[in-house]
Amino acid sequence: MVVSVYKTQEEFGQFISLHFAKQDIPECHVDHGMLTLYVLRAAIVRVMLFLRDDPACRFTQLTDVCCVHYPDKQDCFVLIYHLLSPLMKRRLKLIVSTQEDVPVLSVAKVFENAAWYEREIREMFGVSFEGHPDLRRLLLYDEIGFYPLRKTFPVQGKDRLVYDEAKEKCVYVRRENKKSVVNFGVDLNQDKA
Amino acid sequence: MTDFEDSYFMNIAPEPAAGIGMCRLVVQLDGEKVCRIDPHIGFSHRGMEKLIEEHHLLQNLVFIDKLNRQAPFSCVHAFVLAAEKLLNVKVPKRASYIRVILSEIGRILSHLRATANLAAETGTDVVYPVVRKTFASAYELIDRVCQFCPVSTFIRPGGVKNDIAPQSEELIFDWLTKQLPLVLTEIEELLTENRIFKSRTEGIGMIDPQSAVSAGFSGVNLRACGIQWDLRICEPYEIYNELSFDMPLKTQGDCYARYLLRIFEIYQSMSLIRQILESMPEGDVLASDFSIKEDPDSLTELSRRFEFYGKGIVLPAGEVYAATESPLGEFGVFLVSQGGEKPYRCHFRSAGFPVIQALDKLTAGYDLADVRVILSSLNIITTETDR
Repeated sequence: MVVSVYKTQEEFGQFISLHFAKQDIPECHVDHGMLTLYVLRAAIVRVMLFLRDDPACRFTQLTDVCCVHYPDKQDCFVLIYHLLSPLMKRRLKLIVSTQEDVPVLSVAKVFENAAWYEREIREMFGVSFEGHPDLRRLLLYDEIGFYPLRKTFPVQGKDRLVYDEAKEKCVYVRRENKKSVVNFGVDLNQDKA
Repeated sequence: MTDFEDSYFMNIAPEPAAGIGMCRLVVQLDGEKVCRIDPHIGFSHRGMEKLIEEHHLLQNLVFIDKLNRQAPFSCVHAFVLAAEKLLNVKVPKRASYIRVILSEIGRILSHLRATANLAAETGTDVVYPVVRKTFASAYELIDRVCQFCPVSTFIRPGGVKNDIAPQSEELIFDWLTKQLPLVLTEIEELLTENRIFKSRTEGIGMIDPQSAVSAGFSGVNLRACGIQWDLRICEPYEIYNELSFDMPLKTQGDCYARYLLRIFEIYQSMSLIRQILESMPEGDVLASDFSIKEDPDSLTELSRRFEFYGKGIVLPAGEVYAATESPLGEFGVFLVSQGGEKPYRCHFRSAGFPVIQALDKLTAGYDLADVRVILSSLNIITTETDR
């Protein structure tokens, strides 16, 4: 193990942000014991390459990439990259925010295991990635027409399957209400009428 | 795609392959040699992350346990640690000790199952019956120790649900000293110096340390390449920093090294549990904010109980990442809350996800018959990978 010269997380964050222009890493703080860097969308590959190759950082493993959807914000998709340096025993997370039709640069060339994480985010949230080698679906089937992990998608699904007696087959019917009411087969409005 | 003139494709259909669960492999072959593998996952995808956004903390524990049934407690433990980080709870010492005992029993079971799978893929089916007896006795032991609490909700935010049964220390000690060593010596006699087993695993599925790290490997798969990285030692959680143990390492990075490491780790877990049993402190097992008194006469207690289980615990706003050294590798939970009972977003960093992605690199150049051996030696569980 190598002992880093930067004792605290804050000092280390300062060191990283000093290597880039102010707009590339606008914010840097420690959140629940984890160093958090907010990175400009266009600078993500440069920052990743620096963190991987710099002898004082050596973040050689991309532990995880995940996405969070905030439908009320303008930059509604927030991507969170978790990096790990086994040599320095350090972790940090990078935060990049994007909109629905603005692609993010793919980091699959920097860390090869990012490819599947980005495929998963693409199919679950509909975030597009630029320069990705292979953007097929990963976990879901090919014909699926929605992005299930978005907050705007209801957990019961948008359609429901009912049996149409006239057609003598099962058909998909669009749900009317956003919130489903479970009435266990009893029509509550029956008594009022 | 057209690098090899005589190459052809073979579809290893969705089947419970190599004891890992459902997984489809599209293999490009040149004669018997594998040129390229395209793994297709998602056959056991259950939308766990979406479900978790719709339920409160205690309800979620029940789902999360189903992520990996082969290693009980491993997934719930990480989720509970993340929730505790967010809630800023101090877990009682005794609860930490109990959690570590149960996690280590889970690790022993998972490693035994992985070893049995690897042996079955190399043609030694006799390991399965040996291991199955241990499984039966271990689940009986867990049931008795947890006092027949459903396993998935035993570890919960604030500690563990109830204290372990009065005689459980002797029960665990008996299991460790009388049953397990017999099974382990039997497995080692069958496999470790077995010529057929060695010829099928030595030098197969090799990966060098640099590419293992950059591919996102963790746990046994990473330590088999010679990288010193064990979360129990490097980023100690619970009470692992009070226990004395070292990190077994192998440098070959092949299937045989992974098998040897698993056997080492089973012995290590046994010594850890023995250390814990010797220094088990007395006291509470659940932090006072999270414990509900069973008092039928007190109306306030009753209403509190109703609110606690019906409405759930309010999570403060924030983002946390917590990881545990699960038997398969680093299992991490990224939890986002906006200050309600339900988590806003929960993402699982599963240990198998990056490993199955690197299968192409691991199997290139080996025979088709080695694919299943490599797959089972990596110890991937697709229910955990697909989430």
